[in-house]
Amino acid sequence: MIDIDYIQEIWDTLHKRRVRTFFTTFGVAWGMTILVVLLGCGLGVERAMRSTWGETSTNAAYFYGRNASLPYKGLEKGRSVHLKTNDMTAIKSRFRDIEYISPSFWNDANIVIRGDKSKENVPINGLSTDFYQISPCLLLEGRTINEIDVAQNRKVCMIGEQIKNGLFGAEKAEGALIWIDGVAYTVIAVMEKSTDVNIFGDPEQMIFIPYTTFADIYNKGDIVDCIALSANKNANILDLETEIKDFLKERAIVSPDDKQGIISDTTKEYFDTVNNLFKGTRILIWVIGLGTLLAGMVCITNIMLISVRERTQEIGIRRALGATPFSVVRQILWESILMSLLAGVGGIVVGLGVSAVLEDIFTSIEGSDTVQLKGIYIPFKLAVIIFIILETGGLIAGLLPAYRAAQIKTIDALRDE
Amino acid sequence: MSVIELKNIHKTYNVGAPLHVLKGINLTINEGEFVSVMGASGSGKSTLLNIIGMLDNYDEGEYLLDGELIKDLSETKSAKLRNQKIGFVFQFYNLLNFKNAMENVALPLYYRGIRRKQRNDIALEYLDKMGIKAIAEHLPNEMSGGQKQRVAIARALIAKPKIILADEPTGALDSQTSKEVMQLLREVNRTEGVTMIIVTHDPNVAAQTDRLIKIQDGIIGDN
Ligand SMILES: Nc1ncnc2c1ncn2[C@@H]1O[C@H](COP(=O)(O)OP(=O)(O)OP(=O)(O)O)[C@@H](O)[C@H]1O
Ligand SMILES: [Mg+2]
Repeated sequence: MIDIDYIQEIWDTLHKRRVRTFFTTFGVAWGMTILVVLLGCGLGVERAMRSTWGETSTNAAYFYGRNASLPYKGLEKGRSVHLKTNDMTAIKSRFRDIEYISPSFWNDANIVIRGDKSKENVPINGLSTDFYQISPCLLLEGRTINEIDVAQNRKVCMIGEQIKNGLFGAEKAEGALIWIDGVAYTVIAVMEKSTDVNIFGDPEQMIFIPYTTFADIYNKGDIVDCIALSANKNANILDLETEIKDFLKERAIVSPDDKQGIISDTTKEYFDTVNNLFKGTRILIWVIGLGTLLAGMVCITNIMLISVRERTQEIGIRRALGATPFSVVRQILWESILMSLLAGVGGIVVGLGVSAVLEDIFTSIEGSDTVQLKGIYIPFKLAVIIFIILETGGLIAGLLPAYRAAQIKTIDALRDE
Repeated sequence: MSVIELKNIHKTYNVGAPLHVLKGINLTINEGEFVSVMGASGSGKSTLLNIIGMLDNYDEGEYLLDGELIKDLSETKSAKLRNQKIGFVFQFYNLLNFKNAMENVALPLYYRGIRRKQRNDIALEYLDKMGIKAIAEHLPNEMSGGQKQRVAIARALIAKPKIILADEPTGALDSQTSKEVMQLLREVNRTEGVTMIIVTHDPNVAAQTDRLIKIQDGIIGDN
């Protein structure tokens, strides 16, 4: 039962001892501030890091054919193993959790020419339309490779920003013709990287063309260099990776025990490592923050104990006037809860204020790559959780003093002058 | 009609050596009586008052308050009964020093669940009756002893108790103020019909009451 009149009585008691109340709550508020600021900073670093990941699928895997290390079914070891375009369709129809799949071809173009400007040794990738979902980039101009480009083996290309700067300077590149190893392509896009995690390489320094075109020009036939795919969020990519690899080995007649014939990798391992780092940081922050809060709680308990002692007479008087032991217990608990409430609100508000100031300072150090922080704040849900922890703590902090208060005998209390 | 009936009440304190303080108290006090209790220091006057006020238990005998047997009550029950039936006035006032006169007086009503506004209004009314409405906003440390005792009496009265137990209410006051406080108590006794039991060392105070009860060697002596 929460009764305004009742809360007001408690509040009065705290208010009339405001100096003590202030110093008691200060300890807890300080803990809160530290927790909020630390969590904010930790999350800020995390946000900054995650933002460099962009939309990169965290559930992607890629497969390459290599040289078989074991003889199998009459085939000798050391033979080259090739993945084929039809492997992709087979994977897609067999594994329902695969959302996007793209082959990848690569080559280094000897020379790329536009007018009187040229660039040598440019990595060139052949991809399908799905690549954009697996490893996205940002478009500064134009559009991505589409189904028609792939179906008709069109000679179109997406070029990286750095290539574009070399060949076009400040001019617009979209629609222009460039020559890649003697073949003319129309530029359909200029790319900028959206993330630091790029399965197909740094798009800013590369050229992407439809994989069908690539296969045509570089005589790949139905062989692909790599198959990249991404599974939906709920799928376990590590399990899928093994299953798909086994599936591909069977199709390519490679021994299931062959560790070399077909190799694979996932983005998950990378993300997991980083995620674990974040997890560690968070745990550390919680330990520090909760430790500080705990110290604040002990401080409340301590001061409430002293306060109960000092107020023996007050409690005796209240009891003589009709206060039940329960109402005394309730009063002490509420005082404790109200103090932690004050401290909590104060601490969170100050913490958010400090966070905002810190963020201003960090963002004002412009262009600095060393400052890896993005948005120092804690989500509302987290604030609510902290608050609940705090109030529970406040309640616990009040238990011992409340128990002591209930033990006070009225006659003894009244005799103390 | 008797409000308080004590039959063969015994009380022993067990701190170190047992101290048998009350050795069979028999006492009946009727509704509306105005009595004083006297006795040597340490004779057990306060102990008796505490038992009547349900602040302490007795070991043996029977205590009937308003016809109801008061024995081994839970703390909660006795707190409720105290709030309803008994008002206390102490030698050293026992006001809450962080609450002003009005709030101090209103406190028993708080434990009765009466709203703040209403109980403060009633408190003002009682302060007015005590002739100290002007100091309603004063804190105890801004009051004289006489004023404090008036506040305490107002507080004892506000819940309309049957009985007021006053343990040396004039013990800390000068003779003039003492007289005024006694007059006030007498008036309350007359107008409100409240039964009044006053413990005192002062024969002048005792002389102003209707009946004198003497405690000697743990029992009620001859009057
Ligand atoms: N809680 C207690 N524990 C142990 N002994 C007590 C307790 N309360 C009172 N006594 C003892 O019981 C005896 C009676 O005490 P009480 O306070 O009733 O005396 P009193 O008549 O009120 O004396 P005074 O006139 O000095 O106030 C005293 O000897 C006192 O020391
Ligand atoms: Mg006494």
